[in-house]
Amino acid sequence: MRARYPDRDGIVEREGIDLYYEVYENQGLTVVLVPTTTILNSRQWKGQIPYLARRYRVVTFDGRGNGKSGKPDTVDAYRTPELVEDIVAVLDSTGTERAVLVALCHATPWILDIATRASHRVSGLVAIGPHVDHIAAGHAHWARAGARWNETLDRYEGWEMFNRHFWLHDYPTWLEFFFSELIPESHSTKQREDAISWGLGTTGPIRVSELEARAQGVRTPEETIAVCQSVSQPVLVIHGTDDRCQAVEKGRALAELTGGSLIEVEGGGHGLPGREPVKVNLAIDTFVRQVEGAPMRSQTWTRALDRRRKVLYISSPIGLGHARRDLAIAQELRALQPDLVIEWLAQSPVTDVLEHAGERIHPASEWLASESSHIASEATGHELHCFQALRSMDEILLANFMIFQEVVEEGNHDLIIGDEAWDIDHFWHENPELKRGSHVWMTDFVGFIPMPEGGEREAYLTADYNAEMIEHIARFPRIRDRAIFVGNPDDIYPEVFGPDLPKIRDWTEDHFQFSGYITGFTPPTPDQAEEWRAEVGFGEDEKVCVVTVGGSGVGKDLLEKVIEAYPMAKQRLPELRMIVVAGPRIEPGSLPGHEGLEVYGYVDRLYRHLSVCDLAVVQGGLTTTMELTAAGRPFLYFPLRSHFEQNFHVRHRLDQYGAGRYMEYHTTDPDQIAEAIVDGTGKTVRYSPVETDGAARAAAMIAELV
Amino acid sequence: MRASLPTEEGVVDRDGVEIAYEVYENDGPTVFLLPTWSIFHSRIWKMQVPYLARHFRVVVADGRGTGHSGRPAGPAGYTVSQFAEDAFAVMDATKTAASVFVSLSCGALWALEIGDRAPHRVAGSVFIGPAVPLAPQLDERRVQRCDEIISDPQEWEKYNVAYWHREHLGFLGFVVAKMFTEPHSTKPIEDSISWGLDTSPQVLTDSDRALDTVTRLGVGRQAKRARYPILVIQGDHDAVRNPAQAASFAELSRGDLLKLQGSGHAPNVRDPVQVNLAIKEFVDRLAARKTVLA
Repeated sequence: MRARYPDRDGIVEREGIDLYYEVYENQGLTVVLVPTTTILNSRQWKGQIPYLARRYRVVTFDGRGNGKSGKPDTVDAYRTPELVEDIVAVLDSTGTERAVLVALCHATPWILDIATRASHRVSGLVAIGPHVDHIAAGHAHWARAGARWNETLDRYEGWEMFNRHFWLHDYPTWLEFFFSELIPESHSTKQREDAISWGLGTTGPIRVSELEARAQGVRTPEETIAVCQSVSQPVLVIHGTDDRCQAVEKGRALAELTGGSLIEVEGGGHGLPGREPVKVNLAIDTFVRQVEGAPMRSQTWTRALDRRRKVLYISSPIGLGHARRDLAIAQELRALQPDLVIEWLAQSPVTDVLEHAGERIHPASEWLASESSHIASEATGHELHCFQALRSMDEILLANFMIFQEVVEEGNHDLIIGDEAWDIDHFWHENPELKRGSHVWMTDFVGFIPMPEGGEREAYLTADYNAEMIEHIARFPRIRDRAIFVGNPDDIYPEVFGPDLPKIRDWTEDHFQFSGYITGFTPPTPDQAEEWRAEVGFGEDEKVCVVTVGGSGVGKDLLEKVIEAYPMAKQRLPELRMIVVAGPRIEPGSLPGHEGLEVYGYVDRLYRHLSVCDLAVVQGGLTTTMELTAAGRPFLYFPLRSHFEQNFHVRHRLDQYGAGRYMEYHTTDPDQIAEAIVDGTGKTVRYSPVETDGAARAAAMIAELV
Repeated sequence: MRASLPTEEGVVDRDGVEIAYEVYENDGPTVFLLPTWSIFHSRIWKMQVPYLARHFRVVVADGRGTGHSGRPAGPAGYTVSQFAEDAFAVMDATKTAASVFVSLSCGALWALEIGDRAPHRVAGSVFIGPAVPLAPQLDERRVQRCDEIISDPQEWEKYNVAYWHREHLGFLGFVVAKMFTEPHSTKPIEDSISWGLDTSPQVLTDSDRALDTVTRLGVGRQAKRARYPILVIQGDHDAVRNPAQAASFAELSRGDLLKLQGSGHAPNVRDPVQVNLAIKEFVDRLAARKTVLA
């Protein structure tokens, strides 16, 4: 899922070639994100679009030869004047009279051309890792490889793959090499994967045509310098000092010749929009605001001692589990510090719970891109590869981080509490100068664990993500003022973070405080349990089995399979009463029915039903299984397949308590489920006790900071 | 000791009245920190000069009646027009073709006059707590009777010529306390009183009477005519000027309004960091638009 979809898209045809464009409507200024040669398409700007589109009108398009645009294969089709005219055609057909043009690499000469020939249409230029011939020496590897472009070699190593013959027969291998050079920063697996996938949107022959067209249209040094010097608009150049595509000297020269300003990203490579999206976004925004004389951002400032103490609480929207524990912590915090103002930056379904509790939801919450929809879209049946889902959520996490950052820059919050707010923790470590307020990081698991079926690649990726986190925290201990593990040391999965990396438990004990588990409610005493049973309408002689998949939209398959088991179980256990709770995201009417079977949508305070049921059948999520553990109820749990957290972390924790019966969805048929239901219903269980003071302990740790 | 010293100090003669100025040379646009009412000299900008001078060329001048400038006798020496002409004279003497102006309180009147007479010399203008009669005076100032003899004046009754001559320090103590409504402001209050003692009751009298001709209509027209970028900075705890005046001014002049919650009449002294950053951002934005600044 994308973080933001265009308000309209369309095609403009130029001499038989379709150009696909997207428009993100907004008042006022337009920013045009120009695609870079055929190797990339408009998705290269995925980190910029959601952020810029909230402030400006944004136009982008797929250049000819890639994405949804036409893919001619002749050399003539890729001559520079054609590519420049494509930009003009998109400006015209989107009704864009004037814009700030943003380009990467080879697209720079095109926007320089428009800025000088049609200067009234361009109010400013941003060039990232610009390629402009002649203005400074390029990297020697280009010249060396270029000299043998047409030669057939016995072997092609490294930059020798920049070769017409190689591209015609093994273009994907070139992409792999090229992007590993262009995105040299550590922990860049996702950015490289993205770039390669966009690169595969074209073909070797098309790229050869494009290269050969470009070689024919090179300007003389004098012409190039004259064009640069005649730019009258403001120019911003952003260039990485480790850019192996375009030497940083080119960026410096371009800034000098155009009288523009230069931001050098020390250690940065060529793919800055993807690898340093926060820095690039803020730089573009500052530039556009200055160019266009937009109003000052800060309209009100409050003297420090006149401010009320203010907390911004970010509760992860993935599943409903965090909402209740965060509410419990907020209530304990208020008990300690009654004058505290707590604002919530949250999204559905968490906001539903918060609104119901009368909490103050920050208005920026409605701008957030939906994380739970993304997660749901990544699930198929009873399977969710949650590590990959988190990786492919990069664009959404970035978009939401940018909104968060805006909120804290305006809001003067004293304290930020992020309950598994991955975006904040990650991007503050990547951009530590942006930190505002004290920061509390909370989580109930530490460490990405590879699923065995993911093989070596997944083991490599999870270790890389873990290593990045470990390095982040070692280098910037000031970003997390408190790290709270919701649980106890024994709950930590007994593995290492990866080859040559520490044991998860050792590292976590060194870097976290432990609040104990936080249920968000106190389980009933035996006397209360009878009262609760009466209140929720469970009869004395009934054996009630509650089936639920929590608040997520993932899990319909499990509900269906359990419903299929119902008649068999009912036959064997006549006093069985089964209540299926579909949750807010599954339409109850879409589930099959049976006589006697009860199906509901949302059930308020479901934990009460779960606390007094005779058996629960649930997914492998932590919140619900731990509620059942705390209440001492028997339950069957079916972790989502490929979900490392449910299959490793949660399962390990439940084992510590001796709680629950682990079941595998894919290998269990309805008959076996019926048998497990009959077997488990009303069974007496002896779990280790779950503490009830977790929220108070967490609040006490947090209160010290504010 | 000062945090930074001028690269050039000078005096320009204006029909026999010397106007003292300082220049802090630097590349980039010029920022002219204008005089305010002749109760204070240019040290009122002491929290701005070192910071702004690191980024811009800065010019400051002592207003007539204060500091090292001359002290003409009679209201005719202190009209809005005189202050505007003083600014032009300092700009000419320092070879400043155009500038960003920053004014405090009554300085707003000089800044508007400058913009009216020579718009090409104004790249932009920042108005802090502008004393512009575009909304009613604060209620508590209605007791003012400037030219009466009041035996034991209380509060704003102390805005009174006879009292100034009798109890100069008493007036300064009163008015400076009104300027700094923020708690814990002892140092700004001490500074301001010591600057106030550098001028005289007669200068206060003449410079106050010179403003009798300033009207709501006239200032309103000037605000509407302003075509240069404007930033208005106003504290909502201003006990000298009704904050509504600044809001109305920002609206008429289509300027940006930065509200400082909890701040008084002279946030440049009491909340200097916010004011400095706001001025810097304002000038940077002008510079980025390639506005011609000499």
